Amino acid sequence: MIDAIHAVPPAVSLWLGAAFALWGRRAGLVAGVAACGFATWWALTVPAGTGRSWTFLEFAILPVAVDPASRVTGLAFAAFGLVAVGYLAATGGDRRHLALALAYAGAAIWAVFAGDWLGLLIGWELMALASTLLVWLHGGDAVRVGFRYALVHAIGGGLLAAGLALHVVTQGFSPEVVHFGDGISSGLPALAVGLGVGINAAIIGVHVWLPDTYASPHVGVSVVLSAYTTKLAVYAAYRAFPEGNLTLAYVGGVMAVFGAGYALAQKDARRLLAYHIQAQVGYILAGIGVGSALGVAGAFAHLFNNVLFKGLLFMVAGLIILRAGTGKLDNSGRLGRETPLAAGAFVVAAASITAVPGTNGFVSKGMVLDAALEGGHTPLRWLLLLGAVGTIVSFCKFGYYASRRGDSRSLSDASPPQAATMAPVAIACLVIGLWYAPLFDLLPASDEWSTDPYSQRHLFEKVALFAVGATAFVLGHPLLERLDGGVDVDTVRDPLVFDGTRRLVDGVAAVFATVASTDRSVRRRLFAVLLDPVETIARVLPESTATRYRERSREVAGTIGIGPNRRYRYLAVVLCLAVALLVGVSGR
Amino acid sequence: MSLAVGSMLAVIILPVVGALAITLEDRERPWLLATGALSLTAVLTGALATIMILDGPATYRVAPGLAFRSDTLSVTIGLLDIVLTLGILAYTRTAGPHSERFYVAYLLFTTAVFGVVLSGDLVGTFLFLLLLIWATGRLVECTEKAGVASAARGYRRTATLGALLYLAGVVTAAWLAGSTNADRLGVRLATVGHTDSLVVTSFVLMSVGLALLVALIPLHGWLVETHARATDPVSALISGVLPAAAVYAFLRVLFDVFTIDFLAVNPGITSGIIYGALVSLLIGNLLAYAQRDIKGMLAYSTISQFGLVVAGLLVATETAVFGSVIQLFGHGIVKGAFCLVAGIIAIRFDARTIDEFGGLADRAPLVAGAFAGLAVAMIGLPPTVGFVGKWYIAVGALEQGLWIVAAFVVISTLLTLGYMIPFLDRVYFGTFDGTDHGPQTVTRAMVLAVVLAAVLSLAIGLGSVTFESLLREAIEQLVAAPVG
Amino acid sequence: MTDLRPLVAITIAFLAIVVVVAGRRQPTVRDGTPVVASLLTVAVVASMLPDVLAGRTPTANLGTLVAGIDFSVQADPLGMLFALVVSCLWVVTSVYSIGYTRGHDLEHRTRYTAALCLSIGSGLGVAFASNLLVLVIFYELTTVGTYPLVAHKGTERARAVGYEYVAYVIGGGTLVVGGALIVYTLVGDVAFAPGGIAGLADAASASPGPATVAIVALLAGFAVKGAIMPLHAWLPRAMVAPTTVSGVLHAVVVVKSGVFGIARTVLEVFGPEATAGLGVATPLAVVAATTILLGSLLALRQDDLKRRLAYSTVAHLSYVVLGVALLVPAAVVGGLLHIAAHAVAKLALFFCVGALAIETDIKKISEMAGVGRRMPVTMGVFAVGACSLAGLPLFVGFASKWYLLLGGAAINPIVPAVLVVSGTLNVAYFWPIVSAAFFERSADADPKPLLEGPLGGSPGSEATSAGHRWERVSPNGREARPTLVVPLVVLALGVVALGIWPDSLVILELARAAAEASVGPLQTTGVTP
Repeated sequence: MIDAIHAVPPAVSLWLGAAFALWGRRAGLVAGVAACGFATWWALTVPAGTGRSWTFLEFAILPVAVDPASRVTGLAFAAFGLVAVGYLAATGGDRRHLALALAYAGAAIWAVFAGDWLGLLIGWELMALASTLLVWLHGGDAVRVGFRYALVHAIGGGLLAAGLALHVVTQGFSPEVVHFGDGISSGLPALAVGLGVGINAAIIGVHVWLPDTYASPHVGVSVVLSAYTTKLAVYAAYRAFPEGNLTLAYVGGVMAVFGAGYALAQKDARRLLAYHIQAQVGYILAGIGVGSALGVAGAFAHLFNNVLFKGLLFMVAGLIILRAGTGKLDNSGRLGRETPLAAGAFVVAAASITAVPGTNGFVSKGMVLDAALEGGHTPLRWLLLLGAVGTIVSFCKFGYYASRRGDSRSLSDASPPQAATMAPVAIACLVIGLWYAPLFDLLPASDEWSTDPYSQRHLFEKVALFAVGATAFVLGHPLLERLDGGVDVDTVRDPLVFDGTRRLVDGVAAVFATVASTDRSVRRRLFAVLLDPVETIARVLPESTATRYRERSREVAGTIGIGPNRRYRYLAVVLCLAVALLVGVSGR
Repeated sequence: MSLAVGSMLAVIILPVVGALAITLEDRERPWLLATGALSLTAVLTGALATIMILDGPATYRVAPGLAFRSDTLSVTIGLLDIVLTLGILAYTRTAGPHSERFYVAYLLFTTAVFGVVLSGDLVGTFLFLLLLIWATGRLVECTEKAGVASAARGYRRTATLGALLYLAGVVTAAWLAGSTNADRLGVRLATVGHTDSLVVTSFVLMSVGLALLVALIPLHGWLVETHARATDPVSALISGVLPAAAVYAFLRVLFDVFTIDFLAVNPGITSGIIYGALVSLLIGNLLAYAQRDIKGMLAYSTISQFGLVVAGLLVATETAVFGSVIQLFGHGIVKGAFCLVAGIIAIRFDARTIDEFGGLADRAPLVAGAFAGLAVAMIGLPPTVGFVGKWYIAVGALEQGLWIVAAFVVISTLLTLGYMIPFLDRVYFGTFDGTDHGPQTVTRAMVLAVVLAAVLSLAIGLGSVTFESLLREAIEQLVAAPVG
Repeated sequence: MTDLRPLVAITIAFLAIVVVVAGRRQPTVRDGTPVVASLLTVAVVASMLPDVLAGRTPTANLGTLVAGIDFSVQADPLGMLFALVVSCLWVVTSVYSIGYTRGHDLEHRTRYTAALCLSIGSGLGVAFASNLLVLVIFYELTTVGTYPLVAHKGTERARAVGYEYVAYVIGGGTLVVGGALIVYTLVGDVAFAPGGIAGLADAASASPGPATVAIVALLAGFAVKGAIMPLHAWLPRAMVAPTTVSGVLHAVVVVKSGVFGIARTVLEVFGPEATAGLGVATPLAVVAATTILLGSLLALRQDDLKRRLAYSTVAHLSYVVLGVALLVPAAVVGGLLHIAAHAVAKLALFFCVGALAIETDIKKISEMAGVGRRMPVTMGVFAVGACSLAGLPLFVGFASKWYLLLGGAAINPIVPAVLVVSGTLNVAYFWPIVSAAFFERSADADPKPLLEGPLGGSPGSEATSAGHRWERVSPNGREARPTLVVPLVVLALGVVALGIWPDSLVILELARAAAEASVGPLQTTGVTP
């Protein structure tokens, strides 16, 4: 059972930190580091199991539910939170940045340790909210970007919620039905949840928000963002399909290729990295999709490592941008001997993401590939390998541009605080690469699988991949010169949505406007008749009678001329009599 | 003769006595005398009402052609009459007219109404109707406005024509049945056969004659004119009481003389009258839109209201008839008070047409409040009497499957709203640009009278059930098919 | 069980009118009375909660209104839910309107305050009415009370709109009367009964013609006030009214009484069976769904703040109707819950708009760039309200949306789809306001996607080039006066509190009780009818 301290979800500590951060930057830094530290300790020490449940909308929510999957993810989130907050502060983020970043990370951690879908959904939406604000903080163009981001995630969150509702309905109502159990019931619910998760996981087609967003805000913010949203998505994917799902696996495989491919075409550092996030997420999804014990374990190992090295890469990129004032690789300054820290960090990170033996990337990527192999999904494996090649090429490119190209002035190196935040991550990457046992112990079902990262095949495979990659780069880089960004979905999507909606709205508005105007004009005419019947009658009469009629009707106001007219009265009486008699006597 | 009969005769005679007193006595206090006489009458009416409630209807035969009968129904109209005449007295004390002629006519008018509602004999009814017409004519004349004389003359001629038509009908019926007493006539006509063309003819004559006195479209001309020309207290009587009396006479003819059997076997006539009533409900409402002058608006709304009432009568179920009666009563009060409000506003602000009504609320909040309250009652929003009456009529109509009636009744609310709101809008949100003779020109009594009326309209609406229980008996035996 | 408390709750407001009119000479009395009265009302209403939750219905019968129909008021769960919303929000409103009337130095304050009390009182009457006729009485009274408020400013336009408003709404009321008539003639009773008036279902199947006319008349009549398309036109135009009034119209009394009437009609007059049997449930749901989508779409391109809120209201009212029309327990709960959820959030939004108008004279979204720096609290509250309406978790809006999703999922996946789209549209038309207020300066105000062109205000647009009529100050700048800000904060807290603990704060319980009484317990979500 879980003791008092561990009964409190660690997210709370981060949210408290966020509250403190509003006092000021320094307070925020201290509070943030403390909170993340606590969360890390919490994640390491909390025993597996579920805490007290909380009734929310008649469903039993589990704010604290710990199993290997949530522990390893949560650990990654909490630990990275430490450095991310530090980096944010070290790159001039102010108290608002810190507060929102902590709130955001807190939401992510809440979602990870929640033991049920509803709880996860809460964290999910709060993350979307906080991250939107984080992006907005940068002002300027980031506002519009953030708006698009918010829209996309509104759809994602909505789909997720709808999927859950469908899931609940198919399962039949009970307070516990929202607990993860063995995944989302197949069919429509699975589709909806899959899509909702997929949007956050940036699967192809709905991935544009990723490069779009991560390239625009404050550099520290992109570091923070890079770690959580997509990773939480893949974690959710695991919860939705714990038994694996081949479609998912292949989606992941294609993402790995697609992401790496587009990364090749990028010149903006952060866009390039963003596309690599997609690629790496592809790997993780593949692992989860394969569904074997090894696959899942590999996926989570890669998730953990990816948080580290991708964060590190974004830190380096952020550094370049801060120093050079632009994210454009080909006209920023150079990294090199003069900048050992930054350059070193970059080398380590690049090595890990391209899975050079001895780095954490190598270990976990190998696991995923093995899973694909032993699962007998050869095409998938090839996709992943292709993606790996793409990764290698694009990081050759990144390194090449960052160190050789651009104007010859070399950038000044990372400041001590920045270095202090980057170094631990770099070290972690290397340490895990060599001494991976502790990580393995954290992974799901650690007794059902075994792997030897440094098996002959792996090493051989690597060498081959690097050979291919290097040659590909050498041959292809003139071509890469010319590419800048490439054409992605958004070039079609944005105008379509934008103009489409505008047309639609204007159409609807126009329809209602015409309806309203006709209605009003009809009413006006009606009232004109009602308010001056004399004129209306006079108009149909012949001229001579009309004038006489007008005069008479003026005698007593509003009697339309029949009031004072005796002759008319008698006529009327006679008429009535005649009609009545006719009806009465012959009525039968 | 019993207590009931005594009070019956008394309420008819007392005002006459008052009138005599006013003419004989030379000191200039007609108002006081009138008030005295009428308050006495009021007391007696109250007594009569209680007697009716306690030991049921009473009849008294004076001479052939002159008999009196009374039940809770007739007392209701009597009450309406006396309440209005008294209320208006509170107004005329300062506002005038002060002349002796006026008060004499006034008292005789009261008597005539009582006569019409209490007379149990068609000939008697006719005589009282003549008196009523004469008195009304005199009342209309009691002002210095232009064209009053001709208006009064015109009214007398038209109305007398109506009365004569009625007489013609009575004579025919009497010739067929050999009696003019309402009850006997009913039985004998039944034996003659309701489908007999002469019977039908006599019915047609009577109802057209009375319809003219009720001022149903297209026989409404006189009402509009007199209404526009007469002074406000008089118009209050004209649209509050006069048609009511005529409607009562019609009701008697309809249910006592030619029972609902007649209606049953002459569907043509029934639906004919219903549609006629609906037409006048509709046209009356529509023409009211055209009115800039508030009195004109009130006149046309009266016409439409009586269309409603008559339609209710012809539906001829207990519910519907009760609806008509309470509508009759409520409308009388509301419309009378409305005329007085118009008068008050005219006295203080010289405001007659809608455009002059701007922003009165800021200067005379209480009057404006009464105006609003009465307007709401006129429109017939719940829970005012206007709504209750319509509700009962509509329910009755639906019971009979007369969808169209129900529909018209419901819609009439909206039509009324359409021409009422502009007035309210001016009164409350308009800006004042007129002359204000100051609050002292209007006495407390005047304001009190109208405010009371507004409150009363609400009270009756809420207490409708009590009314219903009191009137049920009378209405039941009215609507019930005659025995034998 | 006879219990005068429902009656008392109603009468307090009416007595308040008397006091206000009597004390019109002393501003303190005039402005203070509503506050006191509202607090009393809340106390009385709250005192009935235990009974209602225990399944008892306090009823006060004043005898017969018209033959066969009693004038009685009762506190059943459904009515209680509405009454609770009205009375609690009245407290906030009465405080706020002090600040508003003084900030704007409004004229005819006595009339204004009295009319406000009348509207609220009649709103409570609508909530507690125990049969259709009594409901109609108070329903029309709300109109009588709100008409002076709508036309309050007395300008040509205001008066025209007022006339239109009355015509529309009384028209609806008339339809309702017609419907009530037919119902009465069909079964001889109009008293609400959970699951439908006894015998009406049979009568409906026996004579579907009149029954259909009746239910359509009732629904259409209420739909006018509920601003269901295509009967919504009056709502955006009624925006000429003072902002407090708009808030009351939108959130507290008027439109709510419309949808409340629909709920009563479907659940407790005809009952689910008859409604489904007459085949009006599905069309109603379709109309509601369409209204949700079109309303949100139209809201997208309104530059005028109040108009945007108005269209958002149009959309959100249909949440309630949709929920009720689906006739599934969960959906009904969601719908009823949304009465409260939308009320709190939307009132907060309107009050923010009012505060903005008073302090900075901002009425257009295109003028709002950076105003968040000037009035952080106000705009913060606005953001909270927006989040709630967009249905984010831990804001009250999510609770109702979630139940609607559950119910909709049981009926047809189209319903969740509609809700997802509408949620996104909510984000689309609320977020730009927030971002503009907090993250932009009118120097670099950026036309948002979907809002470009004449609306949404690009830097060059006349709105901002007309210059900001309000001095820009640092984030801790001068906020709106306390009488305005305090209610705002209270509302925001309400939104969040209800969002986090919906189960322990009674509204959910009431909504469930009401739904359970008519459509059965929630557990039946799983079975698709």
